[in-house]
Amino acid sequence: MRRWLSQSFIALYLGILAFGIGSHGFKYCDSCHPGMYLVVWDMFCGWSTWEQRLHVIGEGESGTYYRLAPGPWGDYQPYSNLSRHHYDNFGSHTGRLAANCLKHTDHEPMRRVFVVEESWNKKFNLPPSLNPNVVPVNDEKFTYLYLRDELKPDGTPIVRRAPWHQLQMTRSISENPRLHAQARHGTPVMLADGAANQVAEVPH
Amino acid sequence: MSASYPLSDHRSLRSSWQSFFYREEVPFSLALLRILLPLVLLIVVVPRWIHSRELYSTDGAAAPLALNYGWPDFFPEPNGTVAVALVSVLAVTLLMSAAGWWTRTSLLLSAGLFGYLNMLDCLSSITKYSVISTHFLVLLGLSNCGAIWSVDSLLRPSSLPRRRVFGVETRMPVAVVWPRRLIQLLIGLIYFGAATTKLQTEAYFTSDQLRWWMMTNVNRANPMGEWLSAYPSILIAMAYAAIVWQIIFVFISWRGIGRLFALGFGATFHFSTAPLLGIYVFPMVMISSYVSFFDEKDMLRIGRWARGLGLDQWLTRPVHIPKWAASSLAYVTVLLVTSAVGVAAEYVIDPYGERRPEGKYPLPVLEAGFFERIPREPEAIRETDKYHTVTIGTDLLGGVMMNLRNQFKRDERFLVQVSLTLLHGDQWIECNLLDPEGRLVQQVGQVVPRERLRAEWQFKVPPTLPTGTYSITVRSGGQEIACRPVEIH
Repeated sequence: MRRWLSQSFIALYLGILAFGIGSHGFKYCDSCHPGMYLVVWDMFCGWSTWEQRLHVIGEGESGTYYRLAPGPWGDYQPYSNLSRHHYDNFGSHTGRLAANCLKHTDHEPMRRVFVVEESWNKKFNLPPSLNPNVVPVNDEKFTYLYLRDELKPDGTPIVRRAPWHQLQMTRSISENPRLHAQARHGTPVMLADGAANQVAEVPH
Repeated sequence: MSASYPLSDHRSLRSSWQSFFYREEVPFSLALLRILLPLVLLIVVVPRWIHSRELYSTDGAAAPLALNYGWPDFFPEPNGTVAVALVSVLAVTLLMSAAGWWTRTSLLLSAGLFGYLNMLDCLSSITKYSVISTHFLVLLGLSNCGAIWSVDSLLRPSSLPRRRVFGVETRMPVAVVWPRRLIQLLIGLIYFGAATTKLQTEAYFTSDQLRWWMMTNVNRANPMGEWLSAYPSILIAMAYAAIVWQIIFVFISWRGIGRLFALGFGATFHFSTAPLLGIYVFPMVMISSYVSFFDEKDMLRIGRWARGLGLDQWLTRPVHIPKWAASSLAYVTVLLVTSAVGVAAEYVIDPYGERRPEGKYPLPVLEAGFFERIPREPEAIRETDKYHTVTIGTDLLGGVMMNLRNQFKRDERFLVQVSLTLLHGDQWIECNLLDPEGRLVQQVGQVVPRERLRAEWQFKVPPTLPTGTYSITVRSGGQEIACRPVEIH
């Protein structure tokens, strides 16, 4: 019985691992379920030439702006000297981060919460002492600030815009006049759950 | 004769399966992994404890991984008190696993809690190393790794026949080897899967992925990586070596010189991710897991070496464990007390500061002028930000410049390479050679489509050109992007 159980476990376990490899290799069902994260080994699949940071800002009724992340009680920096909220690349959890900060702090009534994306070319991360033959183009750091999302104080989205990276990608393509003309025929609109009248994907 | 072949093959396959998965050995290597892995995981779990309420509970800002997959309520979220209790218990079960006290229960509890809590926080807890560690904890929990070098082994003296280990007559239990085999196969398949990812990422083979990754500041400091990012040709060689190693690892890592190469290369690979990419816990997890590739004979050989260093006296030193420690009541009591103490301590510390005499923390006001700096309309990318470097040299390797220099003889050929960043759109780029007075000597240009990240031009210095300091200028979008000196002699 013990042997039979262990053999079944071995077969099942290896089968699951093989499914994960196959699913990832053939792009079949590799993100169809949260459990796939446990068997798909897609380490470091994403990359960009742009560094990104997020700013979560609350607008009080007095017109004063407040920083809502990290919370004033103390920062958690999981992988470096960067706060946790900077790792929310998709902006899926920022609303909750803001709402939690407001819940546990003393503040005036809030009007809105803004999620601002800050981006800069990663060449500005390099120290100047690098190989003199490989001097990056232009030494003056420039950061792009972009108002990405507007939320209610409880974290419910009011307006969600495309991430800065996607926006710029779309722009680089739509500089083509023919594509631009065709794209104007269809304006994407997204209605979110529970806020059908308030949430719209803003076209660019 | 012909009928006997299938039967013989069948027996052979079966006996191979048996000897591969069901050979018996003293579980030295898994016991060592059982000690190392929980200690490594404590490095990340302990700092999270004070943030448990914020990271994992309904009283904080949990960020469930399942939400990213479109399954928002896949795992229930605990309230703040329960989250603190769970993280406290996790820390103590990891310690118990390393000590080997109620080993199997501690390991399986650790696996369950570590996996569950990580799934509740995709921003700062779950990573691939935490998933890999959860696999290891489950497989260790199914093994007999607590049979030696553990509190359990001291509490339950074995009646097994005596064996000579580390030069000492002792009773060493044996166990079937299949959990160790599954750990070995898991490691091999993880590398195979990682290689699949690389095969699907074209930029991995052109050095672009690695290069920009080394320039990224989301992990810890990686000065060596930043320096190496200036030498993409070396990165290409490293990239090919790494992917070949990852693909063949599962096939060659079992014995002999193949194992030596696979583990040696692997250890070097993982160690180097610390200075190159600023990653520290992942290498510690993976290198710890390599002990699973050592069987009983290897470990006895290491034991003889340890005996030479006098470590055996420390390892075999008698330790007194009180008898009550063997009871399940004692174990459960420790868990309950730990969770109660954890909850009480967190209440006293009051991470949100809500019970301070002065009340809740006020919100920090945003730096003056920051919000006003945000443009109403998103800015277009500056022309200079579409470019990374302009390099001058003589040869290309894998499409990237090597042999960088800026001094050339007359009649010599040289190359200019422009490296672009993503989001550059379709570009017309001009590359000009100017004489010492700034007059145009040669002008070339090309269209670089949005998907290309490099463009090159070849120049041949005319033999009639006077010596001097010339310059290469790159122009794009009607402006000069870069100017580099070139010595002609």
